Amino acid sequence: MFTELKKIVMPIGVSGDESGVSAVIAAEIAPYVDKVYNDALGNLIAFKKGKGKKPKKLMFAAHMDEIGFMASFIDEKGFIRVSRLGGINYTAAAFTEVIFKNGTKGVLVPEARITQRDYRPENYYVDIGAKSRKDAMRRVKIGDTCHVAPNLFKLSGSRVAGRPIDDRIGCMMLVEAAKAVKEYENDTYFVFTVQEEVGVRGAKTSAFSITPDYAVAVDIGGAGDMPSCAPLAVNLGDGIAIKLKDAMVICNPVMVGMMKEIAADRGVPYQLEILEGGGTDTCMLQQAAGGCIAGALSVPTRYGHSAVEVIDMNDVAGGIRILAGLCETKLN
Amino acid sequence: MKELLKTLALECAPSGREKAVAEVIERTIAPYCDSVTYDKIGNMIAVIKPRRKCERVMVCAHMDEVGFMVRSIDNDGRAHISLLGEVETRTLSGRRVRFLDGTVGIVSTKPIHVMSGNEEERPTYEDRIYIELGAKNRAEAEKLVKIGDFGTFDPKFRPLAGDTVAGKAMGGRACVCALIGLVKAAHAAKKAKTLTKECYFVFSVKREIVKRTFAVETAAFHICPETALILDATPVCDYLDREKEAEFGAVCGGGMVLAPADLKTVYDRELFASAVMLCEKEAIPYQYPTTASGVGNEGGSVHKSGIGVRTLSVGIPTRNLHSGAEIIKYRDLDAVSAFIRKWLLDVEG
Repeated sequence: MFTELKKIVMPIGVSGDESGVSAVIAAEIAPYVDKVYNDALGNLIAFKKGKGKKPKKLMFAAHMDEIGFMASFIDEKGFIRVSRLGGINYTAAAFTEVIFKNGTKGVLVPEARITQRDYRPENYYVDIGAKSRKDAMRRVKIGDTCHVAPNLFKLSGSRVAGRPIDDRIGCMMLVEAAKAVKEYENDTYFVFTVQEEVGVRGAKTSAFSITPDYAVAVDIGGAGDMPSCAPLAVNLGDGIAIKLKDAMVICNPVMVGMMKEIAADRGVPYQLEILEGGGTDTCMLQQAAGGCIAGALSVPTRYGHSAVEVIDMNDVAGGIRILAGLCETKLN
Repeated sequence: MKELLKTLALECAPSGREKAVAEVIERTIAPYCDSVTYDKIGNMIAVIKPRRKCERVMVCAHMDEVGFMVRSIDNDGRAHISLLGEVETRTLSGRRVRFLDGTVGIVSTKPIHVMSGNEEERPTYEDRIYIELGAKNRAEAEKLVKIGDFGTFDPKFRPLAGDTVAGKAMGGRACVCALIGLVKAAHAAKKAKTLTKECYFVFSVKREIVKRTFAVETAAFHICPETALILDATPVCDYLDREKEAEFGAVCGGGMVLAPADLKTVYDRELFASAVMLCEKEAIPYQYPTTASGVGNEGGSVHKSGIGVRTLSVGIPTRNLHSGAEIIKYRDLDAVSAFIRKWLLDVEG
């Protein structure tokens, strides 16, 4: 599973510019579905027909975009100012290697006299080693996107660290679920959404065009087992988390109940997630068009939006079994 | 075009009461369009399309402007107001306000002479300002204005030296003006049988009063375009107290503003890249916005409507945005006009 995840973690896909990662995922999932296509905003949709007459529509959503930056201004010396895309933790992003979509490498640094207290977007710049504006513009144009260098490595036991695990882990889970399903009882749409990090935008349009009856978002969640962190009854390794609520959604009890049942039937350990802050694609899935029965699976994650997001692959494996279980359950 | 801009600039269209401007636009474009209709929220939708089915493109500019609404009248005859949209409040006092029936009042506040230290620095806001109508008491004031009456900055079309012009809502009206020019050009293209797109021109309402979603969303949902172009006024950064080079960006007179992204939209990658190329090829002056994190415009609602719309945004750099005297330069308006004609119709501006 580590190898499969690494394949999906490495390509760049900053919000609004996801074509790189989209192509990789499309190639991975294509053999297991009937049809793969992109919509106007760039959402990648993989469709698999269900058996029987008039099957219900089941939609899964994992966002393939990642937080990152966009070149907004290049000064005379060739230093590049970047605007943020998504919730950047500027302390975590300081003094890191960044890579533009065309492969140009640089380092993201705060201005020399800035103290950590003043870490703000406008105080940061990217140094690509250019000698002048002209030199820099040969490799980077205004509007080009870059991300903190991707990475994935094993920690002790089944734990893995790197970035962007948010939400390539969800993408990998959808691909693995598609591989694992024995028989599709429902018309199933595996959707790899765009622009989640800048405001759950891709989920809105893809859910509108699919108009699912049931929908599940798969994303990273929080963890409550680090030193002096906010209280949250979710621990790494105790199982995949079934979301009850976050700041933007209250999950449909029907979906929560179904997922619990499948987990119990198949002997998959699970936890319940109640997040005080943040949101995922779930909120838009629930509201798009006429609305649908929506829920979410959260992979318990430490240090989200940093370059060292940590998860436990056992939680991930359980999540994949629940997703496959939903595909194999006849929905009414 | 100057005459049209002047006519548009002298009309008042506070968010929610856009009729006066809508009438001018409708009168001007109706002879050129297949149809001109209004959706239920008030957006005007003008259509010009070729016989055969082809790509649906929506181009929009908003008709409305920031303004004022009477919220109460006190015993001394003062009209207290709510602000419609993000009115530039630091330069409000002493400004003339015109209500839709023509009544004029002056924004008034505590004299600067009796303000204490930091009071001077604080911007005026709704609770500290009122409209002086000259009325002696409540009864007299109520003859002039009623609760719920709409007003705007007093309209003025003030040419300055060179190709500069000032007046309230000038940035927004310049966009409307450019869009009207595009309507006429599309009509000519249709007659010449060179029109290759189904063109939907939207003159939208209530853009200024909304924070999260915009009224234009209903028009986009109805039209269901494949591609959209948003025209809007863009704030400039050629002010005095900018601190850093990083704050450099769009300036008045620097050409049309092409944004790669703002807080509400990451504009379509291909549309943005091809727009830059088009400007280079046609030698149309263009520039990038102050930062790529501008607050955003109607594109935020349009690109997420329905099944999703590939969206691009083009701006006219505007100084003193949302004040009683916005400033633009004709050369920027010309750049926008030239670009949108080339972009939509492949004809010269």
